[in-house]
Amino acid sequence: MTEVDPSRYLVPGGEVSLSNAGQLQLLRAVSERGLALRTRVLGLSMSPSIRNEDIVTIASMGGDEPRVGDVVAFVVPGSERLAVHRIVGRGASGWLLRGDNCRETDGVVIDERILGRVVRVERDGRDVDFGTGRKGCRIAWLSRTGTLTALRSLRHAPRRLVSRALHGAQGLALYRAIGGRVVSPVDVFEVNGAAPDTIRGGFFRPRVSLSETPAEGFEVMNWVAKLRGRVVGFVQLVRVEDPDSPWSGHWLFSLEVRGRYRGLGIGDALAAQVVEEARMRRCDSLLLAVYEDNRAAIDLYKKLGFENTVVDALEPGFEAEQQLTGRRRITMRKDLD
Amino acid sequence: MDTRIGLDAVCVPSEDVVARQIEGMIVIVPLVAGIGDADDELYTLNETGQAIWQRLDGVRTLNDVVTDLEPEFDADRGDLETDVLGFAAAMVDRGILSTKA
Repeated sequence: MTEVDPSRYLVPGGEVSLSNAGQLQLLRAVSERGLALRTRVLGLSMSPSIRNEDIVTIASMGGDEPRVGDVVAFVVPGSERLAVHRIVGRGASGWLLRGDNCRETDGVVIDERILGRVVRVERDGRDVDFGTGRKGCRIAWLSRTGTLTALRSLRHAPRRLVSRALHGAQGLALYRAIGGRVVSPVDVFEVNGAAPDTIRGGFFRPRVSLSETPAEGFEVMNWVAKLRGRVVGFVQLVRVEDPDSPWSGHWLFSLEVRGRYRGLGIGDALAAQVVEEARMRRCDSLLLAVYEDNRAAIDLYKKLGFENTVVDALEPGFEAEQQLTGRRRITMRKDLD
Repeated sequence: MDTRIGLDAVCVPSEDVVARQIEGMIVIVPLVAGIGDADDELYTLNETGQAIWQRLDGVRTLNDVVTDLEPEFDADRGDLETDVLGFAAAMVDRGILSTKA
C-alpha cells in the first residue's frame, strides 16, 4: 500500500481548535447520539471550579432532569453561544444558571437549551473537584444568595484597597508630574505581524482580532507602548472601507493601559500615535466608541480634541448592547482637517 | 498497521465517530468508550479529504469515487487513485472508516 502524506487530505496539523460555535455544533451532534464530548473550555466565568483551558467532559443529559448544583453546558438565552455554568435555582419556566465567578445570572434557561452535564474536569492531566453532589448544591446556594460573590470580594479586599489608593493617586497632578518624568520617554511601536501574545503582552484584549486575517476593505494597525521592554499599553487604528457598514470610516480601537501605569501619559501617547497616523492618511475624521461610564477615557479623548457625536447606524446595536449588559457606548469624533 | 484496501472496496464512516460539517470544514471526532475527544483527537479534512469523504456513502466503490473525482480535480487518474486509497487506508487504520463486505 502506498503511504499518502496526511497533509494531502487533512487541514495542516490535522487538528484545529474549535470556535465556540464549532464546539456548540459538535456538542449537539454528540448529544443527539446520547454520547459525551471531551473538550477544552476557555474563560474565567466558572473560576475557580473550572479554569481557563481546563478540559471538561460533557455527558448527554440522556433524559435525566438537570439538578440544582449541576454544572451544565447550555446555549445562552438570546444567543447561539455555548457556555458552561452551574444551575443555581429552578424557576417556573426553566433553570436559573450562573457562572461561579459571575456577578449576574444567565437568566432562565429552558430544558431544550441544556445540552449536557459536566461529569469530569481535568487540569494539567489531573482530575479536579469542581463541586458536584452536595458540594455542588452548597455552591449553588452561595451563588444564588450572592454569598459567593461577597466571599470572593472579601478575599480581594486588600488588593482592591491598594488599587483604589493607586487610582486616586493617578488623578493627582503631582503623581502625573513625577510619574511622567520617571516613565518618560515611553516607546510606542507598531507591531503588525508580530505574534499576538507578544503584542498583547498577555494582558490586552483587542476588539479586532490580531490572529485573523482582516476581511477585504478592512485594515488594522496595532501599536504597543513599551516601558523598559515591557508592554504596558495597546491601541489599534481600524479602517473600514465598506460604505454599507455602520463602522465605515477610521476608528481608534482597543486603547488600554495596564492599571499601574495609568495616569502617566501612556494613553495620551498611544492615542496621539493613532491621530498622527490618521492625519498622515489624510482622513477627514477619526472616530471611537467608548462606554459612557468610562469617565477617565472620555476625559482623555476630550483632551485630545474628540467630541461627542452620533453615528445613526450604530445606535440600534448600542441600544441592544445596553439591554444585554447594562452598559451604553457612545461615539466620539475628532475632525482632522 | 498497513491496511490493504483495493479499489473495489466500499467504505463507510464508522459508527465510532461523530462527523459534522462545521464552519465549512468536515470535523471528525473518534469515539472512545462513548466519549468524543475533541481535545486530543480531532480531524479536520481539507478540500481533497472532504471531496473523498462526501462520496463514501457505503454504495460506491473506491473506484467509483475516483471516477467521480476526476472531472472535479482535473488530475491524473493514477494520482487520484493513490490519494483515495491512501486516505481510505489511513482512515480505516484509525477506525474512522470501516469497509463494507
